[in-house]
Amino acid sequence: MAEPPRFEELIAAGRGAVEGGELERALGLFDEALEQAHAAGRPDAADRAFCNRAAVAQELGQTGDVIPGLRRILTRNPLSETGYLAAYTLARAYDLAEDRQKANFYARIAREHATAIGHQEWMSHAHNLLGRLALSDSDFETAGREFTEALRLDPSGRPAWRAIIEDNLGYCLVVGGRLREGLTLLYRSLRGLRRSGARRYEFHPRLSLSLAQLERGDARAALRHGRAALDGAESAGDAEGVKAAYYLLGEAAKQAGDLALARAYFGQLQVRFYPDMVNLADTLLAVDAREMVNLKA
Amino acid sequence: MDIPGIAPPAQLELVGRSLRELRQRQKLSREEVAQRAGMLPGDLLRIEKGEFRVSLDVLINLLALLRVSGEEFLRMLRTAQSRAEGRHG
Repeated sequence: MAEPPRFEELIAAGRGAVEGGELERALGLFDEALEQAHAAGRPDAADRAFCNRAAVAQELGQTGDVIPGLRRILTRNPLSETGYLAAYTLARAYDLAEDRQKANFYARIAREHATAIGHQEWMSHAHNLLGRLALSDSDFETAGREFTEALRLDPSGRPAWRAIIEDNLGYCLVVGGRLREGLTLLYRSLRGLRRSGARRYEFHPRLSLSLAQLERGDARAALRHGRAALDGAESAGDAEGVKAAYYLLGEAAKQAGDLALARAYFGQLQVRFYPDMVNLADTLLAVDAREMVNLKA
Repeated sequence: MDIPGIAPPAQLELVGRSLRELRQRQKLSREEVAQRAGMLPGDLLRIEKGEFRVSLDVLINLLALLRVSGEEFLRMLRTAQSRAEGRHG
């Protein structure tokens, strides 16, 4: 039986929307694809649509229990595109549930599927995911290797995708003290996101740039990037991004010698996210926690 | 932590040691603190050994759990620094 009419168009349009950072639109398109696949009685197509939909829903913070469904799909789709999508989305689901061991397990399966079917772009995605899991584990060396491999394998030249990897690798380099190389990658990442119109993600390299400029001792540049990161994270509704931005802005204001401003930023961090920790601003004013904190954990 | 004269890996070790001291002073087990801070006991062990950077959430939760102010933590770090210098000097 042929695939339902427009099914492939809907999947392609959904992926295009993801690439452009239009996640709500992508979710709607994958929903429609899923309905079409069910209506046409095509379980294979329904599996593909389900995996794509689950991946986008995860990015939007809709963490419904998709794990049993994805496991079933992975079992009945060995070494295939759908199998890859299921393994990758399972790895992301466990990553969000902070189960790093299972996340690594499924990310490796995703890499094996991508390698077996010779899909270079997905190999790149899997390496990026393995890199991000290593980054969550504060293993910056492994993370750097995985991100380098992800960039090498990426055949697409899609600026938004490369920009996300460049931000991850740039952050690892900055934390490892390789500031010049890190800054080059982070500015390239920011340009890539602008070029592709994926403004939703711009706050990520802005945060990394704020940290990098702090490490360079350029407090004004750190403040500039920190403010842009705060605006971007607020617009994207990303609470972790907002927290990181307030923290970096406080550190940057402290480095600039403006303790009142630093107190105001740390105070915002406390009021909005840690209401019970009334002495947080005092603590962060007294202690520079940069060496302890992993902003991409 | 930016303690002049101490290289970053050594600073991380001092921070880890100070956190362990705070935990032991309050007679809390590693498992107990890890659970309440939302992390794995193994990760807390790595923090105490100065081998692990944590998320902002975990750091702030840890400081809150161990009921330590910034000034007090800084004092502990300076004491640990003096001890380390005494050992190496």
